[in-house]
Amino acid sequence: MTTIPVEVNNSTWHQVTTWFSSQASWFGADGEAGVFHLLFQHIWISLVSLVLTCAIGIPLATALTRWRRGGLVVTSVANGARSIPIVGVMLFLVVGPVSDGTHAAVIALVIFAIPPVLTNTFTGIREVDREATGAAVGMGMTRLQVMRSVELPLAIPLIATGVRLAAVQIWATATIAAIIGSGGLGELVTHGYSLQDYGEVYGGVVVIAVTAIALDSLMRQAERTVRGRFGAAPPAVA
Amino acid sequence: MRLPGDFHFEKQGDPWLSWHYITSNAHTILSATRTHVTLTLEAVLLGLLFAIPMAAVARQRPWLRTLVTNLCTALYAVPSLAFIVALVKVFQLSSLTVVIPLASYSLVILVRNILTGLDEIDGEVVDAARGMGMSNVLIFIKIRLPIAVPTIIAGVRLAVVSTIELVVIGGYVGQGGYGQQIFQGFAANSHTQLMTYLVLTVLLALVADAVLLVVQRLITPWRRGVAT
Repeated sequence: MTTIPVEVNNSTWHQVTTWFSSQASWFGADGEAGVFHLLFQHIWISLVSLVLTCAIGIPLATALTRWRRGGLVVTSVANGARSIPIVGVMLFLVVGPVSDGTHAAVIALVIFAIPPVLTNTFTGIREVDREATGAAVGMGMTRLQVMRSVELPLAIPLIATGVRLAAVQIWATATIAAIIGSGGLGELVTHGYSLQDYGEVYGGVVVIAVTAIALDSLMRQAERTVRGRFGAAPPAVA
Repeated sequence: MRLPGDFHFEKQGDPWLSWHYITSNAHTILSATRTHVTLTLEAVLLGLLFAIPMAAVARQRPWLRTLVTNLCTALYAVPSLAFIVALVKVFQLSSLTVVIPLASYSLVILVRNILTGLDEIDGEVVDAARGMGMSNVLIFIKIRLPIAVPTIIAGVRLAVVSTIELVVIGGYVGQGGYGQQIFQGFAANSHTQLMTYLVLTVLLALVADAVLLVVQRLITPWRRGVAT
């Protein structure tokens, strides 16, 4: 009887198939987190960041519409944020004022997700028909009531666009935060890269890309539903 | 050691900004700037090289337009860190590892702007050109593209600024001009190095934006006075 020589296969393809078929990479083993654990972390970081972004961005935009110079502030914030590298800010936060990786990640994610929410909410409220607000004032509504029951509802389609853009951006950027040890799906890439395990790297890339694209189309669907419910909307500001 | 011109906001550690650091590392700063600018230009030019034919093809049929738009959306949704690290194995230390992902992100911005620019054209102008016996290709090159230039340049500006910011992520795989320095500063726990290059990145983006605004005004003199 001849023994079949077992060929040691170290090709990238082999690493990838091993990673995908291994139970440890999905459920974790030996203290190493699996995909599902990291996915949960990723959802948690993104959700907290998105809620904070909306909690800051929407009231801030509402307040800025009351101010003559508001538009200038909104465009400056949007343009300014575009020229600041988010990785640099994350590394800065972790080395300097915030030592905890997850906290630093959430702070950076919120800072960079505010501009889309801010610009869209601002535009949404500013584009509300003057006649609608005029009629509301004529009916004896106070400024706060006009804001709550006329302007904000009419601005909802654009606010939805802003929230969608922020959510997709947060999800994508949260993967970068793995560099500063925030956890989340990006850890598959950073962990695999540090060990030169390209099975984990490519597995991570696939999981990250698929979830990102899925979230994008899910949010578009949700936005369409919201737009449908709140009537015809002004064109989206991308 | 504390030097005049240093800026601290903590009791220990090196300063966040130091004039002495800048003067004594001028050579490294210059070469990092050169790398950063080169990577940005390579990425945006490669993006432009693909974006123009893609936009031209997308205009032919509605389903092609949907296809191209969806492809761009999908590309844009792939996070940059994953994209760059995925290419390390393929291109190793070549700058393509960073340039290809960044080119595909700029492609998305450029295709969108070129399509908007091409859509702006008055149908009568095209009819007149056709009446003069111009072929479709000639109409595209001599009529459609020049009229779309302001919108295209606006897209290029946007692409350049966001690429300058994205190059920094290349620092994670040991590339990316300022990014490399930022990551080195992070690894060495050097506040000065991290902050200096972070500020330089922002400055470079602002300078590039201003320069391209001037270019935009110079090559479209008929649009002067129109808000951009």
